[in-house]
Amino acid sequence: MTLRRKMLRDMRANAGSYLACLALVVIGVVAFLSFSIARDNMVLSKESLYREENFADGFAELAAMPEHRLRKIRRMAGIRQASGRLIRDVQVHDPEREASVYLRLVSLDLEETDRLNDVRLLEGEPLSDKEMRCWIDGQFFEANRLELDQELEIIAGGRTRELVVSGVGICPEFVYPLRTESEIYVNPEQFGVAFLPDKIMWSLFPEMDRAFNSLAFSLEDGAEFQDVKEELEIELERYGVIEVYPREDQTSHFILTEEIEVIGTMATFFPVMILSIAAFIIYIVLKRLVEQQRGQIGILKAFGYSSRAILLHYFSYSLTLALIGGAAGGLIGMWLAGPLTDLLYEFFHLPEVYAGFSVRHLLLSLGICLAVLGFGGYHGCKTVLRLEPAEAMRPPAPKGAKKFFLEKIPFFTSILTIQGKMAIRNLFRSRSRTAFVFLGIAVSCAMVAFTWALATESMPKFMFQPYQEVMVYDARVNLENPRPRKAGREELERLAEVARAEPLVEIPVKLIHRWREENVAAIGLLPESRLYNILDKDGNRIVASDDGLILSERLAENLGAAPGSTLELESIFLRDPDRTVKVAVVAVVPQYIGMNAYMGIAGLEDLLRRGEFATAFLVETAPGPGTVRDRVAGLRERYRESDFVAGVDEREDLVALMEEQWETAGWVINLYVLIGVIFSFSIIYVSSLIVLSERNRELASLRVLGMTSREVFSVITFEQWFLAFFAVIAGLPLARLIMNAFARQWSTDMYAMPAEMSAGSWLAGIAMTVISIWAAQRFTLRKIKRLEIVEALKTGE
Amino acid sequence: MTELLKAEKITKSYRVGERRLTVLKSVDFSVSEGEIVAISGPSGAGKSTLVHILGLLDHSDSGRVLLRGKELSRLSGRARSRIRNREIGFVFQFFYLLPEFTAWENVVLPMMISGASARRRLKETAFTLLEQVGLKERSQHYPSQLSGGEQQRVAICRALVNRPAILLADEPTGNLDTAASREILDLLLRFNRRDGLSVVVVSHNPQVADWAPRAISLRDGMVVAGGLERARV
Repeated sequence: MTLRRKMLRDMRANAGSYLACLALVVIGVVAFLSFSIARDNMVLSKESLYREENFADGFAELAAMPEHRLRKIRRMAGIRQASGRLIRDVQVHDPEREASVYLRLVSLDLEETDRLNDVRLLEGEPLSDKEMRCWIDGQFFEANRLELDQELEIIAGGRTRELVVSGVGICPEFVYPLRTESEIYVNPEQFGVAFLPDKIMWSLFPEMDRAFNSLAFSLEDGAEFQDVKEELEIELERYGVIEVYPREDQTSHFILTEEIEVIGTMATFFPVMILSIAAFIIYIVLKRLVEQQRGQIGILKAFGYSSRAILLHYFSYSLTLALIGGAAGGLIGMWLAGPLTDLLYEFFHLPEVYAGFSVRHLLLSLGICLAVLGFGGYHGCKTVLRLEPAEAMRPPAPKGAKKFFLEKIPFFTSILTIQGKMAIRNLFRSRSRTAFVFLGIAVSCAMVAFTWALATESMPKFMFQPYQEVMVYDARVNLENPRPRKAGREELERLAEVARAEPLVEIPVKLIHRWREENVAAIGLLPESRLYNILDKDGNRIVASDDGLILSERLAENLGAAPGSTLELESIFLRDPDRTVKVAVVAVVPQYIGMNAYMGIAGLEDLLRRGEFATAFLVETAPGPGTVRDRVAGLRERYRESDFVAGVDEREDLVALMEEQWETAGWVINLYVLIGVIFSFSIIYVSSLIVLSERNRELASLRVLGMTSREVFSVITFEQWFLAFFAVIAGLPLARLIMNAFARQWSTDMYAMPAEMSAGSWLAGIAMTVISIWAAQRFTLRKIKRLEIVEALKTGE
Repeated sequence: MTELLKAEKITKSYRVGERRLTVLKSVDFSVSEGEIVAISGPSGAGKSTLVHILGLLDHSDSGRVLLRGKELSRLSGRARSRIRNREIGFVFQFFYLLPEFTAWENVVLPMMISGASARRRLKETAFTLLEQVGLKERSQHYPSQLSGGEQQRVAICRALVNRPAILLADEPTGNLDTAASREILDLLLRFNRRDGLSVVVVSHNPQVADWAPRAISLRDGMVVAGGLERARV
């Protein structure tokens, strides 16, 4: 009872430190709980959607397969269920909109009761195969402010058709819908998914009557995807199979899973950082308290309190904070998890599923707090165990010391001031603290340099380089089907809006190198292309060769190929699709979005043993009245109802979307920079507090001997700057390692993060670290100025 | 004898909870050049507080401190530091040696703070002092390797290295055994006789008060007895 009262009194006397620690514990637990629960809710929502809407285990893309062949597929070993779909992208005609708007039309078999990748109808009415009605995905519906029964004009097969919105739904296959592989962010204003009865789809695309170009299938329990894939590829070969891939490679699922993982990382990263600082503060506070109360500890022991009881008394300070912080943070965290989950659901348009009150999470957060603060607290007060009563009532014996190795060099000692010598010897004397500060500054500097490089180099390069340096056209005219390139080019270049048109071939291929294979798009370009640049590591343009393929880095890595390797190429575009052709790798280049293989257009045509053709044209608009956007709009209008043109994409739209996304991403990255600075500041400030508390009397005795406050301050600052010099040097390669690890971790087959880090980022890391050290030292100086010499000398007597 | 350090009507109080505790009540005190004065009294009488104010380690609420007739009370922090470094030497009960420095380095510290950089001179002065206190052989030892008496002798050398006008010793024998205490008092006496060093010794030990040629006694913040010069022990 007496000790409990003493604890409350001690806490009141040093309320600031305890409150700061408590605040950190609460923030740490709130971050942990809100992100963990939000992540769990998202997983729950994703899994319930997948389960209830029967999300497929695998997919196959093909040219065209008759409907009746589906029965055979369904009977194949390992396949439990299979659905055929006709999937086509169409343009939405909206005369009031400048940008192209696309819809991906996906067929639904209305007679099938347990459809794979079914659509959950959120509002609206069922579909009928007698009406041109569709269900629309919720994101597109909201972004374009559509209403039920609203008519949409689509251009299908070169004809304008009216499609009525009958309902709004969500499908597990299109939670995160991306139109092309060169996109990484959803753009619901310009792209959405519409679900139509298969009979309506066949009426829109008569050339695909009673045929599918996509297959979704689920696996029998225990069946291996790879085995089924091999069988399926053989079965589908005659229908122009392009790719058979598992759920893990399905774009929407892949990105959604990645995003959930990011939230999970945040649920660990932030709390670990924050709680570590809290643990360190409680360590310092208790260490200081035990030193200050050395005499009291001696008296308590003399009165008969056991060492264990006194240890428990001081230890209970940290446990009290852990319990209060854990409980308060737990309740706030649980309360905040709801709104955070809602925000994420709104962003991903996932069905709202909540796990409800989680005792497990509450107990987990309390457990983490007790463990982390208990660890810090125990180490802060464990000296109590060793202290004999008589020893405790005497001032502590002077600590041992020795000269440090550099002092053997006369030049070094001669240039050191007295403060410098004190500082350096103290660094070597308190090795664990030195290691902590060294590590703290190195990590802070690395974090700032890394986040700075991410914000100013890697992310901008990743997001904008493909659209500003690689694809430098104004518009891309996509063709419905391959067309002769020379005629197409001549036609386009005759138009008033067009200054230059370049044909482009983009075809699906399978590349095989030894036992590895990848399905990618091969891109054929004019060797003299000015509108699509293949760039090497240093940003130099590489000519698309007719003699072999240029591979993107990730593709080369996945295939285990390098310049000089020979690959086998399969494609439905080969004159004889049953055969493979051999092709050499001539170069490997970085590519940040998607992975592709490039070749000279004529070389690619030769390889495929086909005549000249193009699947798209890249256009540079002609100078003239109006803006580029006006000229692209003119071009779009010209081909609005063309049988040959699937759509006209404007590059500027993609840049604008990236800029919009960059605003959000930039904000998050700046937050990371700020965390780096705060981390650095805290490390230095806390280390200064330790120095002040541990060496209070030494510093006061220097004041007695005639040092001014500033001279005493310089003992501490010299120590910190000396350490910071080496820590920053160590921090820079650490920043590079973090960047490389981050780029590697973050890179997937869909996107690759460039590990860019220039001297500018290193300088920023150094500058921000120096500023935060300097700022933390200002607070220390204030404390030193307030240092009461007499009081300090009395302490411990 | 010329008056060296003088305190006039020094008052000092501290806030203790809700109350103000007056530790010194209009105390007058002076010490002449070459004089040894002991300040004695029970615990809480205000002895250490008076020495701290005389040594510019603390401020008084009112009153003046004069060194050779020059008032010190209103000097800036920097000027007070300079005077502490050059004119006043301090010795404390708990020595307060810097643990990371050797005995010799601790001794030269005040010289280095005052800006002395001629290494040879530093070396000679410090070694001479350490030799005089019998610690020449221990000059490269760290405080943790020295006994309490040896540490206090190093502290005395450190206090005297800048040749101060006065040495203020606050319970210099309080942490030492009888033999070591005797050695320390003998040392102080030796420096007083040889160099004319003025010494103020604070102690609650009556033997120290008996040892000093002049002693004053404080009780409840007031001088209750003093000024009598006795035969030296």
